[in-house]
Amino acid sequence: MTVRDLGYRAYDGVRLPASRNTYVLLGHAMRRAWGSWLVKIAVFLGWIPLVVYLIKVMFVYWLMSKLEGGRPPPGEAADALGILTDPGESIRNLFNYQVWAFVTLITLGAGSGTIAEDFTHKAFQFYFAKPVTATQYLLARTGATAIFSFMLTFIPALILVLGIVVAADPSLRLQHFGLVLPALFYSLLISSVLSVMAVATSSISKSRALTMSAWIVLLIVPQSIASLVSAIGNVSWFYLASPPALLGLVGDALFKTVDTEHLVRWYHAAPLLIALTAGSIWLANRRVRNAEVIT
Amino acid sequence: MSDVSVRAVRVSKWYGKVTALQEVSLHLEPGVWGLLGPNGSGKTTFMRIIAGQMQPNLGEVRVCGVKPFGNVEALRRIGLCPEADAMYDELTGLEFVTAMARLSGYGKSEASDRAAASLSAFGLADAQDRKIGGYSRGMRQRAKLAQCVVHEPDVLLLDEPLTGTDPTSRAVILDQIRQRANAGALVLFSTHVLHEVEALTDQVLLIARGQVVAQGRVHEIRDLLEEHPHHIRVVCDRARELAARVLMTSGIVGVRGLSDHTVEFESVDPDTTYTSIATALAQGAFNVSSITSPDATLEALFHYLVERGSRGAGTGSDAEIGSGMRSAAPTSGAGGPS
Repeated sequence: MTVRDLGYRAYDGVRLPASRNTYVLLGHAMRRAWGSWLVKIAVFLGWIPLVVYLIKVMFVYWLMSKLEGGRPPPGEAADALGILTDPGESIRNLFNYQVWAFVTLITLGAGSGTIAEDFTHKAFQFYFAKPVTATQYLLARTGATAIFSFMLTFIPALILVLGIVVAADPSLRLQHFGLVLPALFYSLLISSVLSVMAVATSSISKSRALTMSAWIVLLIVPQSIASLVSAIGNVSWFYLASPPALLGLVGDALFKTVDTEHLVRWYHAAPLLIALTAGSIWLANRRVRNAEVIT
Repeated sequence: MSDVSVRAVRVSKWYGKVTALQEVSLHLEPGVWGLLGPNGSGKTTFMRIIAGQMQPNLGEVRVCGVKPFGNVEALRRIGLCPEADAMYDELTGLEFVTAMARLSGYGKSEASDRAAASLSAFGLADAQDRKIGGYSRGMRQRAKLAQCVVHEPDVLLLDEPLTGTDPTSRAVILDQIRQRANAGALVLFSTHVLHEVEALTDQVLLIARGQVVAQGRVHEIRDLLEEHPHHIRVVCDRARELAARVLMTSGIVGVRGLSDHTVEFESVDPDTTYTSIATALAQGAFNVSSITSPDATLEALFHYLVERGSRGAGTGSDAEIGSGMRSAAPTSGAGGPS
C-alpha cells in the first residue's frame, strides 16, 4: 500500500484574485526601484528647486509688503516680482528643473534597466509560471517608475502653487489656485510618457548598461542637437526629435508660457508624444511576449 | 476542475524552422515521472507548454482537464522549477519565495508563513534571511524548488532540479519530491542523470529530437523493443571457451571478449541465448562469477532509443516502430506513484 505523507495537502483555502497580482508586482517593482541609488539621490535632492522657489516666494512676499500698495512696480522689476502676480512661468520652470535633474534620474535608475535586468535574471520564467500576464508585468514595471516621477513633479508643483496662493494678493488667490489642474495634468503626462519610454528602452537588450546608455542618449542627444541648431540657425523644428522638448512644448501651452519666437507648438508635439508612447508600449509588450517563455 | 493529470494530444512546437516538439501524445497521472532526453531534445519546451508559458503550434495540452495557457486556476495548480540558475541576488530567500507565494494568490502574512515553511522543508530555514546572492548553488536550487511548491501545486514540473547540487541537497530534494508524489501530486522530473530518475521512479518518458520515443516503466519499454539486440555479460573462469560453446546458438549476432574472464553476447533471441548459456555453463563446469545484462539499466535503454530516434528522424522502419511504441505506451504507462 502506498504510504501517504500527511504533511502535504493541496491548499483549498481562499485565493486572492489574479488581478491583484498587478499590485503585488507593483510593490515589488517599487522596492526594486528604491534599491537604485539614482532613485534615492533623486528622491532626496528633488526638493531643492522647490525650496529655492519657496524662498523666492517668501522674499517677494516680504518685498511687496514693503512696497507702496503692496503691488509690484512697473517695468523690469515687475518681472522679478511676478512670481506672485503671474506664477505660471515659475511653475513651468520648476517642472523643467524637476524633469531634467530628477525625473531623468528616476527613469534612468528605475525604468531604463528594469526589463533588461529581468532578462538577465531570467525572471520571466518565475513570474509567468504564476497567474501573471505580460500586461500586468508591464503595468507594474512602468507604474513604479511613473509613481516616483509623479511624486517628484506634482508634489513640488502643488506645494509651490499653494505657497504662491497663500502669499499672493487675495484677489488673485483663486486664479492662482487654478494652476493645480494643469500641474496635475502635466505631472501625469511627464511621468507616464517618460516611464513608458524608459521601460520600453529597457526591453531592447539584455544588457542593462546598454539600455541605460540608450536612454541617456535618447534624452540628451536630440535635445542638444535641437538647442544647437536653434541657437545657430534659429530653427526650432529639431525640438520635435527630443522627448523632453515635446513635453516642454505641451507644458508651455498648459502654463501659457509659449515662446513666440519658436514656430513649433503643442499641437505639433502632441501627436508625436502619442505616437512615441504607443510605439513604446508596443515595443515593450512585443519584447516581453517574445521573451523565451511567453508566446 | 478534474483530477490531477497531464494529457498531451499530438503536440507540436517549432521555433522558426527548428522543430522543438513533434506530435507528442501522452497521458500522465499522479506519481513521479522521469523525463529523459539529451540537451536540445525538447524537454524544456515540453515543460513550458505544460506550465502554460507557451502554446503549442499544433495539438493540445490539458493539465487537470483544462488548457493551462493563460488559465489562472490551472496555473495555481502547477509549480514550475525552471532550469536556469538565475534569481534576484539582492533578495533574501524568504523575500523571493514570499513574492512568489503572493503571486499565487495568498495574502501577505499567509504568503510569508508558507514561504518560511517551504524553505524550511528544503532545509533553508537558517538561511532564509540571507541574500540569495550569498547562497551556494545547491541552496539556490532548493530556493527555486521552495518557490515551486510554496502554493502546494498538484502538478510539479521540475526542470533538471538536481543540477549542481551536492549529495546533501540532493537527498533533501529527492525526499521532498517523494513526499509530494506520495501525497497525490504529479511530478514531472527532467534530467539527464539517469540514476537519479531510477532512484525516484521507474516511470519514464524518453524524449529525443522532439519526440517521445518511449513512455512507461523501464521493463515495459524493454518489452516493446524485441528487435533490440540484447546484451548478456558473463564473468567466468574460461570466458573464451564459453564464447566458443555458445557462439553457434541460434539468435546470437555477436560476441565480444571484454577481458580474459568476461564475455558479452549480443542476441536477438534472449530467451534461447540465456538457456544456451546456462546449459554450456553446466556442461563445461565453469566457475561463474556473474551473469548480467547491461541493457537492464536505464542508461543503456536511453542510449539505444536516442540513437535509434536520431537514425530514424521520423522516416523509415524505425519511425514506424517508434510510433508503435508511442501509441502503446499510454495504456501501459499510466499508473500511481511507485
